[in-house]
Amino acid sequence: MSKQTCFLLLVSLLVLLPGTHVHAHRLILTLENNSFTVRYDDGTAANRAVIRILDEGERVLWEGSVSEGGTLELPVKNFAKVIADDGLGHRATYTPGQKTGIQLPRPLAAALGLSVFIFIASLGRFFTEKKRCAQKG
Amino acid sequence: MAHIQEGVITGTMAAYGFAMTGAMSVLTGRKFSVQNLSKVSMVTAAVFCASLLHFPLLGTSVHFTFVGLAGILLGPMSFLSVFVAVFFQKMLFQHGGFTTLGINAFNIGMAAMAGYYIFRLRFMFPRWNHAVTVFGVLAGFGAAVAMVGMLAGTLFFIGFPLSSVAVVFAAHLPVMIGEGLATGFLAAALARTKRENLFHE
Repeated sequence: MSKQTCFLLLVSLLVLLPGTHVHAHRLILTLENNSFTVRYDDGTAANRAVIRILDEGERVLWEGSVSEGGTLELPVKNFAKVIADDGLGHRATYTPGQKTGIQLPRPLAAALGLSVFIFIASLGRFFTEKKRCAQKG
Repeated sequence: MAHIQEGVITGTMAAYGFAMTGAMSVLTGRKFSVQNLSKVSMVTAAVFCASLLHFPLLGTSVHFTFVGLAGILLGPMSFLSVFVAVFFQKMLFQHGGFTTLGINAFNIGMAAMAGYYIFRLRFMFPRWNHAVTVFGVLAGFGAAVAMVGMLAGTLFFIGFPLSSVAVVFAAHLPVMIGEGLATGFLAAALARTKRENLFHE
């Protein structure tokens, strides 16, 4: 592996290592014990978020802000969908009975992504060296 | 929070986003060759992982992108690199959405291009010893400003209030400064040790 590839790999790892402790941002909306919680996926409460509760016809049943802690007591019993929006481009949706998709743990996802890029970089290196050797020979 | 999430933009804007990203990918992809594959992949890996470096601020969560860094290392190819990184961030970290992939890639990719063009301005000062460092800082800072500007512009265009746009800018100020310093530091280090890694050197 060339010095250049080693250096860039080191930079990537330096970025990755602290990342495994802090995780990344994404808005998450959950309902537990008749209370909605809106937070980013690092655990930070999304206290700017506005919650809209919709019926089956997508009509707004209730709309309001969450508390400082990012929570809201369930104001409506029957609803079809809940949308949380922090007004800055982050949005999360909650639909009763709908299971969320399986997600890889963050460090594993980061390692998987890095592996793909390192593999591609290695391929690039291989073909470049092969071409160089062919030109010399 | 450079990524706009699913359901925030209209279908028309999503379509424009994909069209513009496609056009820019074709235009900037002409510089790409197998010889560059290793470098492009590793910079893409750095951009991909940069979004894990984040912190809460002003009621939202902001993260690094290192798009300026991609710009100074890859030049025009940084757009394609950022596009791939944004796609992987969506697939593995659930950042952004499928319908917003085009507009997110365009916003962040254009910021990387801005970093590249700012860094090129150093050639106007060939005798200045600190040109690489200073323009590295400016490239990182300017790219972050461009990225937040593109994001804020998109949000404003789809009807978000000016107060939201102001919060987006205020929340990202530490990120802009951090990206500027990191990019400048790396540019200076590369200029001393492996100058050929900087684009156009």
